[in-house]
Amino acid sequence: MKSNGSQESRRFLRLFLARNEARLGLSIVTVFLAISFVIAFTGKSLLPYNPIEQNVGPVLASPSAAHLFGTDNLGRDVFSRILFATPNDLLVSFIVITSSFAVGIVLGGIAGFWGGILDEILMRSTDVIFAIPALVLAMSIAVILGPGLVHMTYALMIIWWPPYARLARGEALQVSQRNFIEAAKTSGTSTLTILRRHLIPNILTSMLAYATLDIGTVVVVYAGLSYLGLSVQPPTPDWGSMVNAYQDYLVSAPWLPLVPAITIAAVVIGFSLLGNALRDALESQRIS
Amino acid sequence: MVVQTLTEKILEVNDLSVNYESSQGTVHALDSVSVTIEPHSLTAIVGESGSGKSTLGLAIIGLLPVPPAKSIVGKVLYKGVNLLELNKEEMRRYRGTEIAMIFQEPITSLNPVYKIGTQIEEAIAIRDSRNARKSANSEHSEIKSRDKREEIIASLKMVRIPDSESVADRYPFELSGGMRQRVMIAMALAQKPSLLLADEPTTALDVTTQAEVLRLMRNLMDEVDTSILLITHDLAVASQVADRIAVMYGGQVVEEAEVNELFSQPMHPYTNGLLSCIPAGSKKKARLKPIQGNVLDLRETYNYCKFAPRCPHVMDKCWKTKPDLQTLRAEHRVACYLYE
Amino acid sequence: MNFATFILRRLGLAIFVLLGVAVITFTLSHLVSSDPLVAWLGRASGNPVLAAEYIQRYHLNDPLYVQFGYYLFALLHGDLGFSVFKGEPVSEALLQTLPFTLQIAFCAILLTLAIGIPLGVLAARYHHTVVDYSISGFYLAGIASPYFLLALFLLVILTYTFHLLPSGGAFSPGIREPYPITNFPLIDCLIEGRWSAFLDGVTHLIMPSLALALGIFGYITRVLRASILDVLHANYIRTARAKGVDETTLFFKHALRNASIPVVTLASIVVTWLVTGTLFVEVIFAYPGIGQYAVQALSNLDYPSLLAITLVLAVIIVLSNLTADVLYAVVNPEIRLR
Repeated sequence: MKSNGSQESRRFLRLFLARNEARLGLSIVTVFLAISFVIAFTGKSLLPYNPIEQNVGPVLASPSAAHLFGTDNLGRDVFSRILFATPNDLLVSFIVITSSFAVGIVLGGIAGFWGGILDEILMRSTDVIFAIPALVLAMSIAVILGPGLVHMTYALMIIWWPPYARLARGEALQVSQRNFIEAAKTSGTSTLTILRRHLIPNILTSMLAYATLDIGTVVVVYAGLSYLGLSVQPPTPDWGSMVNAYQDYLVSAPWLPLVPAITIAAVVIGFSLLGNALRDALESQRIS
Repeated sequence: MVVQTLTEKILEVNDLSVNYESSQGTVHALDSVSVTIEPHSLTAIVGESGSGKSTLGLAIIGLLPVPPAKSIVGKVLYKGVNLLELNKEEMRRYRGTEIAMIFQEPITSLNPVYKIGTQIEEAIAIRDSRNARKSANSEHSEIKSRDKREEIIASLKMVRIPDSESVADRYPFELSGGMRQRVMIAMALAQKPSLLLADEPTTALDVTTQAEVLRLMRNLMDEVDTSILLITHDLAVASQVADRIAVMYGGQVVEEAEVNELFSQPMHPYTNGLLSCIPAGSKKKARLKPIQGNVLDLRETYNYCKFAPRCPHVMDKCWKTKPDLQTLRAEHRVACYLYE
Repeated sequence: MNFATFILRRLGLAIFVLLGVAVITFTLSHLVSSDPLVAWLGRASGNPVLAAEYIQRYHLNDPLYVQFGYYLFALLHGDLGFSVFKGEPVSEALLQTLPFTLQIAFCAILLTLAIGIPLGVLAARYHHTVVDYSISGFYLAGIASPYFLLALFLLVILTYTFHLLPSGGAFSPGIREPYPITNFPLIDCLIEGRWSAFLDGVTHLIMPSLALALGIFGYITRVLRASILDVLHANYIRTARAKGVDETTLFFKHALRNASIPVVTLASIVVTWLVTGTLFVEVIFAYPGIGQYAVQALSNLDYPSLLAITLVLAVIIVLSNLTADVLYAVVNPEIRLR
């Protein structure tokens, strides 16, 4: 059984990487992840300019060789600012998704497997949270906690888990009703082993595809919160807040608000392509 | 309607060959198949999976998915017209009102969002509009809705569906598999086709329902002016209702005869094998006798008899050339060197 | 018979959910500050007259569960607190801003369907060709873009480059606002017979709605395309062909009808994104709707407004989910009759 598993995963990877979507998405994502790691470890040192330093070039300069994305109204290099802000969005997304994944699996797995009143409680709580749009709920929480990157991460972590719990619950429900669980139980396998061997792999694979797609969604919502001024405060750069700060220059220096906005879209597109390809590949594997 | 004499055959398939394109090469699904169907008869095509019987049915009614189907060669003469030479629109005019087909999975073969009555009404409407076009006058341009409804109920009654009034207003998911298959038959026959193709119509049903539906089809054939081509893998099923049986193997017809003749004097070794596969429950301790050997790989082209690897009576000649279908006594055709 | 019980059950669930949301907003209001008065009055909590009135009305000195009871009572009577920033009760402010947002939402939904459905059909019809891939690229860019990007993008092209549409506001300056009969400005213009004012309002409506539609239509296109391709392989399509049905009828009457069922389930996603997107779109286009109100409340720490808006948006979402469920039952007979 074990050797089959790794053979299957290798075959899966080969098929998966053969698709155009996967390759494109993976390249985009890798670029941004690489930037994040580099920045995380080297800080400002490898950047062309200091992202916070003003007047490193003429004010509102158009994109050129010296300043790839031009300069802003305070003479700061936009390219360096964009690079420096990369870890923010990605880090927040990963943390939020990971915690939601973990919380979701635990809550959903328990609810789906044991059913009964636990299941009801879970379903109703997720219903209530679903009724409030993520952004608005995060805004309300932000108002209470105060602005800041960490606070926004907390706010998002609190509200993001329901879809994962639902997915996990659905899988757990299916698995618990399947015949081989009965068979395993009668042969004396402990409940824990059943969970480990049958439930977890199934849940993990289907939720993985959703999670990859979801990273993009967190990025967009976080960017929105940042746009509204709820995340990092100036002068620290963050893509969303940059768009807001520069949007008055839409006519005179259109690259200023558009570049950070398009960067956000690029990250989301990268993860969407990756997630789509992953989901398609997992589905076709499931069918075969 | 074309006036036909009693001796004119409904369907004459001549040397029909069909190739499929698959990821692993070209599959030769049909290899020079020739079959005829007389009016008012029920002919059964019997063969295992991969024998090409479903392909034959789809080729006749023109519903072969053209990729992956690659080449369709030969003649399919329906009332003298070669259907393979028609374009898409012309072929469509034959479907339903001349040649109808019912399929294997009744559960998924009806549109889930429309009521039974609505779907039958559509079939009837197609028939009426085609009749109106044929008869150049349009006297019956407005067929009253009450008459339509009566006809729908009548068609459901004809297939012995109980409580047809309410069934007509139901949705497919409210009916059982057997009922749905009856609805399919009703819908097909409502268009008054001259030829009904039935592709494994009873395979998805339980044994009791199976017998009922088969009996129904046989009886209906006598009531309505339709010939039936029954496609099945089950020789026993065929024996219950068929007038003639054609046995297929590897995309070819290997034996064809009148049903009693086939059962009393089976000639081809494959037919013999099939007959011994039917469990005879009366004997004690009788072993099931399967046909030895493996399933045929249709991606290969064979210049010899396809059954040779599995044949208990195989001779040297069988490995050198392919035997042709020959008529022996009394309309009994076989493709085997044992009889040449 | 079953249809009625179905609706009743959904209604019951909706009420329960709204109750849950009220619990959340109530909890949040108490987390804002240790003094619950702040949640109701924001910065006006220093005002002794208002303070006394609210303490008395909502029993803010009583234990929590009593407060919650009165909170619900207040909500049902339309009392959502007082907004210092706006200088009026929150309910008044909502009444003024909500209609504008609903105008945008209505228009956005129309545009989303108008763009999403035909593109979905085209992508399915020409699947795995250049047409399909370009449509995919187009809608992916739309879904992935944050709403402020779409809004800015439209502004740059339609307003600043081609000078086709105005840059913001609900009406051009100088146009008299209509007399509030239905409270929906555009409808009121029509009722008053002021055709030019109506047209002016519409030109101001297009870009915000378009920005929203561009960000949402992708969901519809994607699902519709997959659904159509799925349905075309179904057995009942084969049956219809065997019956002699022509290709056009086959596509529209048989295939599309079945293929549109999964699209209805998208309604809740669409509404959620609409609500989210409208915040940004209204800010950028200075459209006086509930989104702009929310953002203003945020920057002014206008707690009562913010919490009330959260509640109202939840109500909107729950109601639209209910409508979507009903619609789904209409379209899919299996749900209705089981």
